[in-house]
Amino acid sequence: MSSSTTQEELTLEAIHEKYPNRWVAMIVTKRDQNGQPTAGTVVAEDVDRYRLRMKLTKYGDICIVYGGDAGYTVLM
Amino acid sequence: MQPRTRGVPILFARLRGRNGKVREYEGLVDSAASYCIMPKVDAYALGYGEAIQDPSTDFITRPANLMTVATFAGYLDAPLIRVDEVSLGGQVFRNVEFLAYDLPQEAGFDVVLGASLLSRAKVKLDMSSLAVSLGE
Repeated sequence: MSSSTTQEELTLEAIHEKYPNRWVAMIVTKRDQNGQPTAGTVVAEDVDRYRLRMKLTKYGDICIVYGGDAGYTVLM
Repeated sequence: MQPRTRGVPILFARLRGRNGKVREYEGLVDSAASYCIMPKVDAYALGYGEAIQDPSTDFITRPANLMTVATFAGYLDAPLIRVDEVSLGGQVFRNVEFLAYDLPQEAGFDVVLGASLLSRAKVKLDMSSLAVSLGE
């Protein structure tokens, strides 16, 4: 699994495909009419969400998503 | 708005903290949850130092903001914080209650959007398609 990030703009779908089962931090570059993110520039990613946070301390405004589908069924 | 993944309704929420920092998450829309949930590490990063109290060691001097809540898996204690500002698209809400609690990473969600936010928002949810609509 590559740990590299890109400076290119990726759609949310492309981010999910490129970073499956990893936590991803991105700067949002596009939103839909509801204000929901649709694309962004990935600035950090990690399999561990706490290590990801350590990479984000310098960012004042960042969006965090989980790539792909979670491996477990969700029951809250 | 069409759903993207996972078989559960999701919605992005922007949280502006006490210190002005912003974190945006893909949150699980859960109208059955009384409170929203966010990770402790992010609550701390947004300026809520009271979120990192440890219930297991602070039991003698129980913090006033510590909440005991019932879950499907039993009871848990978690600090309650009020996030200064939460945005769902163009809808902006102030002083939204969140529990600072770390969901299992394997869930693939950091944040749950519960009734402490949803009861104030204009959100329409079509469970048959998992489409979420914001606004009127």
